[in-house]
Amino acid sequence: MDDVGLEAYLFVGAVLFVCGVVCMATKRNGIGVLMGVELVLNGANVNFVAFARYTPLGLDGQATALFVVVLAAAEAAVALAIALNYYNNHLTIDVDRGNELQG
Amino acid sequence: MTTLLLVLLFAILMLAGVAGLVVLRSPALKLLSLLVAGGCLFVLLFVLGGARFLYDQADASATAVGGTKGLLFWVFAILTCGGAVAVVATQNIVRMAFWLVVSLGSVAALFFLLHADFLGAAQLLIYVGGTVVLLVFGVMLTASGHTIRVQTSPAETMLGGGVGLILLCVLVFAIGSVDWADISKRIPEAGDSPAIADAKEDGRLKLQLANATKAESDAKEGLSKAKTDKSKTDKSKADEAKRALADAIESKAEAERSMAAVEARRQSGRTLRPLGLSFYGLRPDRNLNQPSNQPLASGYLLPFEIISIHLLVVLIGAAYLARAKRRVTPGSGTEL
Repeated sequence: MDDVGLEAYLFVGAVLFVCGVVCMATKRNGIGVLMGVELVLNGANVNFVAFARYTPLGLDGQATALFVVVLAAAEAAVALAIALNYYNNHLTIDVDRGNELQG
Repeated sequence: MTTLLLVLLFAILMLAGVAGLVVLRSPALKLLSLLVAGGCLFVLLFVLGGARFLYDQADASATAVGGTKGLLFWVFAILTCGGAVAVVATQNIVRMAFWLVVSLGSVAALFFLLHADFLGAAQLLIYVGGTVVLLVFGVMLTASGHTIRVQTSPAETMLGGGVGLILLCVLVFAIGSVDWADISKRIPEAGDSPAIADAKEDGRLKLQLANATKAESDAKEGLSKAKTDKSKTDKSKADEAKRALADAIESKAEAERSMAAVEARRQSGRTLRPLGLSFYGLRPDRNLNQPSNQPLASGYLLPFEIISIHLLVVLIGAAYLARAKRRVTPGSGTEL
């Protein structure tokens, strides 16, 4: 056994993805939802890098994963600014209370 | 095998110590569990280092490296998944941030294990050093007693967990039902994957070294035979054997040199320069003159430029969104 192989990394990516989805769905704290988004993006990144290593696609997977990291950082900055604005207006960060835009 | 059992035993003991540190209330018991966890960590490091040494002695260094790598993979995979599950399970937002750091740091370690050294460093710098710190700042700016622990109702938690388990089952079934070794063969003229190329290079070098070692021992034998037979044969045979031995020693040294060169090249990292060039639109790892049916064969100059503009827009937008609102006070009509 020289290496653990592609499937093991894909399993790790799947677990990260599912944890992120459940975190996004169940957390009521807005920043908790953001953490779920980070977990989902990391699950995708693990898959990208594993495919870059174990298939002949070369560097494409790693380059894509780098773009994902940068976009995740940008997304976290904007989402936190929105969360701060939301907290200033509502004095809470509970996402269940943000239903004012309902028609 | 015994080493693996020993490692597992001490890993479980260390986890028990860490759990005791978190769960136990009394300071003396906390100190005890800290001692247990620290001692087990040291024993683990010693066993891992010693096991590597023993394997090297047994002239199976390749399996030892693979074994150590596999063990490291399992350690960091468990840390990654455990951290992610803990993020979901914890209700306290600050502890969630801590478990997120554990999970993302272990993902960086997995990137290093996948030979993506620059990406692992970027993950540590940007995620663990930047994004999580940003999240913690958000927690601090929005946390005021009652908001630090926003409870989810148990029914919702169970529903979410059930849906998550079903989703995980679907994903695992999908991963398991695909023959991934066959995927590489479906991409013609792309050559081997990096993992297979490394394994082939290792095999070639090892074969070369084994051949050189065998030739050296054969030449030594021939020389000793020629020396014992000196009485009845001429001297030229002995000279010939000496020359053969010198050649064999030379070729063995050559094989060892090329092995060391490959090892040094691997340890100096292989992704930084190709990645940087690909962001300039160059692909040193791919022959672009060759006709290819791969649509992604060019570089990443345009996405790189788009993402730089995107970062500028995000910077301005985040500063605009997060700035303090100017409120117009009623009556005076002036802005404060």
